[in-house]
Amino acid sequence: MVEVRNVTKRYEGKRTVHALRGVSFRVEKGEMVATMGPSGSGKSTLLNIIGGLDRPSEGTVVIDGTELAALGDDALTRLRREKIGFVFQFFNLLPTLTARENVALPLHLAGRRRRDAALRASKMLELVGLREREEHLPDELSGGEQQRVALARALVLEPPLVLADEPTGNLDSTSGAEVLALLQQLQQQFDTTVLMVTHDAKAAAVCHRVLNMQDGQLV
Amino acid sequence: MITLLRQISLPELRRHLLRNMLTALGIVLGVAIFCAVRSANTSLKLALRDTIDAIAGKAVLQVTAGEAGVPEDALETVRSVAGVRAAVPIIEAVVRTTDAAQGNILMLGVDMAGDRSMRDYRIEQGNEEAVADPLVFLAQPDSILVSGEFAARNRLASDSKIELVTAVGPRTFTVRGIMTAQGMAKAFGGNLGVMDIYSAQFIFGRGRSFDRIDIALADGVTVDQGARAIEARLGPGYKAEPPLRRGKQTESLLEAFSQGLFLSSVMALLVGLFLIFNAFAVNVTERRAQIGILRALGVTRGRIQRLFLGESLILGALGSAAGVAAGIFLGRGMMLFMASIVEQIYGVRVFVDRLRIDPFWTPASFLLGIGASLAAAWLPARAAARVDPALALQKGKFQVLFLGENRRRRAIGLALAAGSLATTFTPWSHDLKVQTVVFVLLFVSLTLLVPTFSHLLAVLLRRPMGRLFGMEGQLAADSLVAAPRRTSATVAALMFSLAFVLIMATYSVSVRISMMQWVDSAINSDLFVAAGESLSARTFQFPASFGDELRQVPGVRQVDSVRILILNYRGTAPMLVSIEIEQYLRRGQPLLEQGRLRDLAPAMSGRSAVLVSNNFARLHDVGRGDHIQLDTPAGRHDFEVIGVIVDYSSDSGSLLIDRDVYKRLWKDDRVDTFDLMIERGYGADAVKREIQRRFAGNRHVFVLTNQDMRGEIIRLTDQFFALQYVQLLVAVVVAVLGIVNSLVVSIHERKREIGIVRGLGGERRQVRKAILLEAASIGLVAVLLGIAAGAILGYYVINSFGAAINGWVFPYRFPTAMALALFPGVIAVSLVAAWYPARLALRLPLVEALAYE
Repeated sequence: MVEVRNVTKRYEGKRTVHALRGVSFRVEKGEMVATMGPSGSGKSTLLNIIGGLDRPSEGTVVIDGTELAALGDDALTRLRREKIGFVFQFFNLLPTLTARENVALPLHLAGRRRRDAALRASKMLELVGLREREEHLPDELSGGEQQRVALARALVLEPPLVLADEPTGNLDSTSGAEVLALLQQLQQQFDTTVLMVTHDAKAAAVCHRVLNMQDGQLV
Repeated sequence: MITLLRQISLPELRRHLLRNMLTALGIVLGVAIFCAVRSANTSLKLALRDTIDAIAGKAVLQVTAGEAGVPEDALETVRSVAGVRAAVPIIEAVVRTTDAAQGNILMLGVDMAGDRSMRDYRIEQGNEEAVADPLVFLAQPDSILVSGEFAARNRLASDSKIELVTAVGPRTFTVRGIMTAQGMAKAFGGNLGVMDIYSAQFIFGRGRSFDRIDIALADGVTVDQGARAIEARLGPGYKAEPPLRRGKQTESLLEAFSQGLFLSSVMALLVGLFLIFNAFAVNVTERRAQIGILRALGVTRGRIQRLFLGESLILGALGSAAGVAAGIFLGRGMMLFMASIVEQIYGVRVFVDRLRIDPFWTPASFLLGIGASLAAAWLPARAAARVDPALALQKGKFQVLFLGENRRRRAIGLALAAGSLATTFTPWSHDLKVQTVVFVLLFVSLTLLVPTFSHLLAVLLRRPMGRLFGMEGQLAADSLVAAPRRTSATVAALMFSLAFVLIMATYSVSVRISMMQWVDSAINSDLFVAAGESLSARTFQFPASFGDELRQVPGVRQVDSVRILILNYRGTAPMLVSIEIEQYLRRGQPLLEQGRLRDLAPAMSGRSAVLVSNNFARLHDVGRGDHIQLDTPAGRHDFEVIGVIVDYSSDSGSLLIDRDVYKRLWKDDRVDTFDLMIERGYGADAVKREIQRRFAGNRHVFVLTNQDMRGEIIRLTDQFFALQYVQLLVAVVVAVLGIVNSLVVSIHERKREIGIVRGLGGERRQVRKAILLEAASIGLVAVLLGIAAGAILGYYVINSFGAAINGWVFPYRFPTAMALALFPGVIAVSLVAAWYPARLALRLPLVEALAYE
């Protein structure tokens, strides 16, 4: 599903920062993989590059048979829309849209009709246990609830790959456990490949495999 | 505090340089116009005073009898008043030479026998005898003296010839002496000439009158004592006042003109206020984390508020400084423009060639800009002080700092609007002070109501936007609905600019239509023969006998004599028009608001009865059956108001009396214009040509057909509205500025949102389209609200505010064509304005937009 080949990322400035140094690995379809490592090890940078949010300085990334380097910006965007779902540490919900509207947003971007999008979003919220809160704005939801909405949004188009950056990093242990359980359940239900960045050992424990990073390299 | 400003504020200001510059531009424009107008006004006033002062010489009092002139026999009366040491007659006229390159010259007609006691004549070149011995001057009636500057500019020397346009046609004069460039010779920008007064009477058509008498008083006699004694001896109808006070009427004309331009500077500043408010509100939201850190480190709420106010002070100071500089740059053009307008409309020529910086208003403009900036930033600064540090330091938490919608605000807005509009039906509807306050309250009420109505319109747009433009339209509409604070500030700025455009257009359309209706009824002669080159310039008059000469012209059936004066009535300057009333009423029917047509001729012919204009009636609260007193050279005289007519000749009002009554009371039989009716079978153009041919060379005549006259009135009206069109341009520029600035700020505020949408798979073209549609929607909402606000404010201005200024109440006519044109215009401009901000937004690296660690 995901193949990373010799990916390097440098930030040129007064001093050159090597965020990633020749990282290579594969993730198979249906796997749930955790990436762990100390702050500054390059975990999030790696996730951004796999998700097409950033480009590597060297190396290639292949998602479901498509090499990202060969894609222009629009094609990369479409790939992100159709094949990748994102879950961020700080939720990144649009503050002016309700829970249902946030979940429906990827459907709108994909050109789905408004009514169909609303129905599908409501179903996803039901799956994550938030149907009764679908008209609430993000600041009216708890952290755990916001992350569940983000999960619903990430999976609403049933993408083959979900990238989660510290999904429990901003949650208390109870909420975090709930979100993890939900992630696991949805991963199995939709047979989604999940690549997660985390500091949380409990989160890593639910994964099939753990990749450890340090100083921009897999160790 | 200085440390915080240096370490926190200055880097922030530098970081968003483009945005801050755009924000400050509203202040720049407002201050620039204000400064330019005040400087131009000051320059014109000072130029006028310089001329009056230079010519006055040793005169401490000047006696006038209004525009009718002072009869010759009044001179001896004045000389016989105890305390008067010297009294000399003066005629003053600005004339042009036949050589256009030489320009205008202010000619003084003086009695050389006595004038040397009043003014210094220093001859640097020429015949000293011409000045020393007045008989030399009298013996050579073509003699003139010119100022050194005029002579040098036009390469004139002693014995040079110069041809002037006079009431009796072009006349050649001989330069007998050139005056040194000091004192009197510096008046009117150094373009001064002196001639014999009796020659001046003839060539300027003054008949047996002078323009004024200059007076020097005996030692020990104060100006007040002298003035009282002279006025008591001469009677009402005469005024004795210090020279500079004579210019007050012209200064008040200039001031009235400046008021109009002052409005546009206020408008620009108000829109600048909204722009700054919006920018600072976004700034505070963006810097929540920074504020949280500062609070956590021990910075008090008060210091946070002062920090943000300090930033607005810096922005305001920079904007004001740029505005003052721009104002000085624009001031010269404004000065020449105002001088031209005042000459065209009021016939007053002021020579002005350099801009004088007003020592009070220039720094005042600077402070005004700073004040506006601080006022606009006040609420955001207060919101910054209220930021909860605990919330602010938690990433992902969102604290609502500004409410876009508020029931109490809405209720206050509605109450203010209803109360303001209700005053149009009260006795205070024409009180200028009350209506100025009401206008401000109306503005405030509309500001308070903008969030409600813009939100409502945005909700209504949601479905059609989704239907017409798909997902992008829906995203755009959702963004409008979901962000009322952001949207309403932008909409308010645009709305007021557009409302201002519509108010001006309403006034212009309403005035024009009413004016044309009046012209159809009032301008009913076939030909008009004037002594001056424009309707407003009354430099020359005809002798009454010229009417007999005109009657001899083939094709002329009827000749009516019209004399026009500007009076001084209760501190205002209405126009007095005298005409042979029976003939006038036979050839046309004035539009009457009060009175009956059939009663007018018998009541007015040879009798002390007057028709007043509608605005005079309103300004002075008089009507049919009332009596007014007018000061005439024959004394104060009572007139019965016999009717009220629709008349747009003068914004201070006009009065119509029978010519015989005028001649008797004002002792003046001169004529400004002859109105001619021609025989059937004769063409107006043919008779016009015959008149011009017959009198060319021996009389200066300016002949207009009825068609020409209508065109001239339209031209004068257009000149007046040229000023308004300048304001329209300012309003449009500020409106465009408002869109660009607000969208740049809005898109910057939504950087993260845009990043999220892109991260979720929104393509660039989708996001760009959504941003453009949002901009077009803002434009559409602003146009709809602007039309509503413009209709309300326009109605109010026509019926109350405008009437309080000049007494005219024009029938309200909404400028439909202009309003319809606003839709495509504003939407197009919104789209263009959004293009660059959209590009900016889409260029952001996604990772940065999503604000990772």
